[in-house]
Amino acid sequence: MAKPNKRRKIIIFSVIGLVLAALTLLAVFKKRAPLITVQTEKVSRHSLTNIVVANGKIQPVLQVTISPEVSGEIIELPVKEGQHVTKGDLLVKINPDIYIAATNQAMAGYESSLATRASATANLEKAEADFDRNQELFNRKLLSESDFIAFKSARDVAKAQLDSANDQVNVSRANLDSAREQLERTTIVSPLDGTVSRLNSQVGERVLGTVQNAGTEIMVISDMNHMEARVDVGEMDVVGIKPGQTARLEVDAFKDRKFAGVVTNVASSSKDSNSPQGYSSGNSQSQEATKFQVRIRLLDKEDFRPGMSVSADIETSYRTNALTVPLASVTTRSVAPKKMIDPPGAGGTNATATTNLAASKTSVTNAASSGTNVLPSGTNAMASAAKGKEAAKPTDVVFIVKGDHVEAVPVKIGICDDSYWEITDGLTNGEEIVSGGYRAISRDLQDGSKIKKGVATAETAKP
Amino acid sequence: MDPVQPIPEPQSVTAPAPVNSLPGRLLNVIAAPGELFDEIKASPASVANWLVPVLLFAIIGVISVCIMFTQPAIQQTIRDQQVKALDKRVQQGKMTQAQEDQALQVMDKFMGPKMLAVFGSFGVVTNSFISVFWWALVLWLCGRWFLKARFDYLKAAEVAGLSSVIMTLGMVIGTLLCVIVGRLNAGPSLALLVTDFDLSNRVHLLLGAANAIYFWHTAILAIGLAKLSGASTARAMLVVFAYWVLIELLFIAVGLGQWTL
Repeated sequence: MAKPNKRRKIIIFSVIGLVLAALTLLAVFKKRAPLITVQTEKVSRHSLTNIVVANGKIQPVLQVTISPEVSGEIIELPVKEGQHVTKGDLLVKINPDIYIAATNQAMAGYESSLATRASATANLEKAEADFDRNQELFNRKLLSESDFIAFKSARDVAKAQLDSANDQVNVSRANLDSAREQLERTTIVSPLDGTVSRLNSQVGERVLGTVQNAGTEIMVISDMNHMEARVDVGEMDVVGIKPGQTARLEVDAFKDRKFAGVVTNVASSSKDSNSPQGYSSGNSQSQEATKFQVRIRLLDKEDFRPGMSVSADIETSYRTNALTVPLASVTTRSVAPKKMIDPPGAGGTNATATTNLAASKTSVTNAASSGTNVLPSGTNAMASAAKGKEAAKPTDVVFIVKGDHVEAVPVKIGICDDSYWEITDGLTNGEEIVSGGYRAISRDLQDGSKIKKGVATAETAKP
Repeated sequence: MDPVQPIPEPQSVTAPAPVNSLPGRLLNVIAAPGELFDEIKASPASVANWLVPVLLFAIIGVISVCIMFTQPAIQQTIRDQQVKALDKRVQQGKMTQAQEDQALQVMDKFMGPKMLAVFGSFGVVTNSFISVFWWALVLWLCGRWFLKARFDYLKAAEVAGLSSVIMTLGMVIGTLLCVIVGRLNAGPSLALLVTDFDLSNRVHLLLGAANAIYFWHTAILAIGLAKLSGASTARAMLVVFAYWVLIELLFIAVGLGQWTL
């Protein structure tokens, strides 16, 4: 009885022992990798419109600042802010008293110069008559030489005095013209049809003229019929913006409406470089992003006011039926090239990049073509070390689904919109790629990582 | 006169089999549970009969927990489950996305593998003691109510304690399977067939409950009850298995199914 029991126990414990041993061996030698949950999509074709978003203000296309050329007190200001004016309408009248007096003074001076010239003319005539008469006497030896020279000199002096009087008349006339000009400038009329968009001064205010100063800005007149959006674009995006490109504008004051526009001007220099020193005082300006002003003419008419905030979507480039992947699919990894150098004449995306290197280092080609892990000796060691550094350079990749794992494929990207990247090289239409979650693509996934397809979660899906 | 008949030798009463050593008892619960529980019934109460197996279960449990939480695949699974649970709360409006992000940061910082191993170890040690006394109570009540038998509670504890050796073996097997498969709930059960085990899925929990070790353990307990109560093994099996099935279904129904795994 004891023997069958003992045999049974041996069998039972043997089976248990075998099972445990087998499981232990499996556990020790089986390679495990965490399964990363991902979402997938297929590479597809879409039409893309690359959009640059910029913010700015609405301003009139034509906007004139009215500043007086002469200084004085404003005695008439018949316009109000917001009033429409036409070309030639009186805008400002400055007290002309000083300038009237100056004009009168100039007139008196001019008349005096005229009188002086008349007197000089009469003197010259007398001197010439005396000279002519005494010259004849001198010729007959009836007049001494000294007396003759005296009459001659008197004539010359009279001539010179006439010339001086003429010059003085010209000077006086110029002074008179200048005084009259200054007087005229005390009345300012509108140079264009428009609206007084800003009125800075009032009647009684003393204003400075622009002759030797910056001048007081009395008012601004704007042509409200033609408005434009002046937006600031970053230096990375401005290179793609050109006059003629269309834009969709959204004005804060007119929500739920989009306005059409066209780019008319792209600044040649940044807003910072327009300051006299090249940059503004203090360190804060140097830390701000460099912006370029772009002007977009608004094609739609609306009750726009200068200074309204606007957001513009500028369509910089288009692609029709381009190969695309979702934005989240593209990330950067340090991807080592599969082969160091391709044999001459071989195809593949690596041929161009690597054969150039091979042309300058021919001895490396032989060593590298035999295997990716071969390290050539001697003088080629540095070339291989440089290649190793090249291989580690981060590049744009997309993860292609290969069964239960992924493969990191370097890609070349083109333009993008708010949903897709254009792929110009590296993928083919219909390939299944990883499109989410954000954490998996940006951090967890590597070439060869094992995956499982799952539902997107808020944490894994958000960028 | 008849010859004197020799006085018959008194028949020697078959003495019970010699009491096994403690290691022998621990092994016999696997190989010959009936004999073991006969021995337990006849012998005086012994604390070692339940304390040693419980301690063994606790130690093996701590080692298992430490091994499992060092596996990258299991850490990733736990992370995915945490994220999923928080996402559900966000979708239900019980917390905001910002609160979820904060909670995940706290989890990453304070609930890493080491902390999970600490908490898991504490849980397994506590569970080992509670489980034995709970099953002892169940056996004692089943014997009293259903089998109309009276036996000492400590005897039931000895039966439950020794039966926990099966659970210890199950824990070793389960840990090895978790490491091999790379999933947290990969025990010797039908849940091995499920690739994406979901703790909130009742079907998955039922499959997880269909565990060979649980069946074995329950059968051993039933044999122990039968020996202690003197009832038939079949009747004891019926009572104990009925209790086990009901408690499993109850836990799964009220959303506590993960505690049955």
